[in-house]
Amino acid sequence: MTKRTKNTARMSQKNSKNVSFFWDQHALRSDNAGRLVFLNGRYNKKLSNTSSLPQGVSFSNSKENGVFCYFPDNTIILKPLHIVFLTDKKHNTKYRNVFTLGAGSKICIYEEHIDLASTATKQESSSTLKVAAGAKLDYVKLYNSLSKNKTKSRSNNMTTVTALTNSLVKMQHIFLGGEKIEEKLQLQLAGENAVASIQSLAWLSNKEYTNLDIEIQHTAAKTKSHTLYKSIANDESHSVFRGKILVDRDARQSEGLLKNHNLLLSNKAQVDTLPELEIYADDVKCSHGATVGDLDEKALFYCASRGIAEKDARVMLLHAFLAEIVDKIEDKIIKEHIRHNLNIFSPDLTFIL
Amino acid sequence: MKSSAMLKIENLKVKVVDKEVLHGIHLQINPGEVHAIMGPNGSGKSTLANVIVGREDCQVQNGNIKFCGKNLLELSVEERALEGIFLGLQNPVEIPGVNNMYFLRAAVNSKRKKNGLDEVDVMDFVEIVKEKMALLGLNESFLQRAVNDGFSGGEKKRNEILQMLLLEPKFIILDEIDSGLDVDALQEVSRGVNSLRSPKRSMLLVTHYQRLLNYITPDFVHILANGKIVKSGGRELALQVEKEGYSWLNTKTIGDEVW
Repeated sequence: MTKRTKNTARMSQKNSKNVSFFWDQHALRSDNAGRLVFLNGRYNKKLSNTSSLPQGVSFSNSKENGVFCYFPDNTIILKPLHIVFLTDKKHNTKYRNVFTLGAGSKICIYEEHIDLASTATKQESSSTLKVAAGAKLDYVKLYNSLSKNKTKSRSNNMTTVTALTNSLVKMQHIFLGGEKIEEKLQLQLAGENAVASIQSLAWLSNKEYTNLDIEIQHTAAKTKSHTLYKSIANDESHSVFRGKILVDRDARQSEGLLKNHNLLLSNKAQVDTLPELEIYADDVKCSHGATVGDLDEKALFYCASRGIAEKDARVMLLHAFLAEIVDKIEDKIIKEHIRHNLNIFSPDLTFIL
Repeated sequence: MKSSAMLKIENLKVKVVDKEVLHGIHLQINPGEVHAIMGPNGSGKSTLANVIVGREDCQVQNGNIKFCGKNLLELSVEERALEGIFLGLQNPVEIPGVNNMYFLRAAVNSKRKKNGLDEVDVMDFVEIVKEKMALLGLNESFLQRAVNDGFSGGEKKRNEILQMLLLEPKFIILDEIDSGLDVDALQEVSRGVNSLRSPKRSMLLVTHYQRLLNYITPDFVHILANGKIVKSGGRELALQVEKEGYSWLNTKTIGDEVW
């Protein structure tokens, strides 16, 4: 028995079985640049790993819980900083996070919101990020509900990002379950040549509801943003997307691209999509588009004509639909972990794309 | 005709979008035989190929199709494929995001499952695929790409033949597999097809031109015009078409040359 499993075993006496099971399965147990875990609103020392935590990372365990990071200029951290917000019992939690990236720094953050509780949970969080000149932020957020009663968790989150000159912000939301998830992102490209790339996905079933609301403000010249959100709505689920690109008068020669593609797989599922452009500058290149449809009949026929069962073919095509987003995750371990989570949706077919 | 037919089509009438396209087809294909269906554009050649594999938009109005004694019309597309029927398409669909290797393995595993076998070992499978790809002049990067996504016309057809070589179907239908291929590609595709010829396997080649038949020699040639087989014969019939085109069909009475 390794040291870790011993630890986990001991832990399970204190925490619920679910929590230890969750950790045993986790791909990012060791391959991270430190891990901060909050359980039911409180920082959890036992589940966290602060031995390799980079300089400038701290956390608060007072009334306003959350993570505070100040990365000095030129800080480069290759492995992801792993932040986990776990809920395993009925609880209302609030988190407040602040991330400040100094000039020229490169940081990857993997933030998980995991619900393991069998009763109703409610979570609120607000995060503020400042990305200084030439810095690169890679930020992946996963929302998942692993409880048996998948449809009892509510989550309301607000993220504000300011990106300065020549910086690059990559954000990815992965929504895999929860009764009601509301995610708001306000991203300001405030310095010349700042670039934002948002590549997100949702796979909803049962009565799950997800609302992703993105507003990208181009306030400086030559800024670029690229947003792609893909969602799958099955059963009686409901996926809402509002995306807005706002280009200020000073943001000349900016580029904005906003796309939302949805698969509506059931008669009772619902998709609302509202892509918007609001442009006050001349000489800009902006476009937006949205589609709602079903799986490609021709592709299903092709699979069937090769003897592939319809169920398998559908899962294969759904994975293919999401692969475009998953492939964009830069960090290999996070990518593997997201694939692992997607496989839970379709245990008969492995996500190896 | 012998009763051990692999495929037997009787008085088949098929509608596609409210229009009858096939007006009573009779055709019997025995094990080991290679048949070619030729005909002008719009004669119903592709419809015939599609109705055999069970495409939904081909509505059978009359007649029946038997495959190894089973009533094919009662089987789903997937069941027909698992019975050993394969259609190589002229323009197969592109599936972005699905890795070609993965797709091939899923297809092979479906067949193995049906035959009560375990899933194919990944490493073994890679070796088998590489061997077949060499025969078709394909390089390995081909496997890492998405199914038919951004493939050239020639690559798509070779991918169809690759699937066929891996699935080793009992009955192979190739719909205009020669269209848009240069001579080199045509030779490689034909080599792949010919490598599967066996006394237990039958083929139906659907083609507009006789060129393909220089590479894959058929035992029988049928001319399809206006939804009916108007003439059947041997290899020489294809040569006559090459010489005279299809115009001679109009001047002759279109008879019911029933098999």
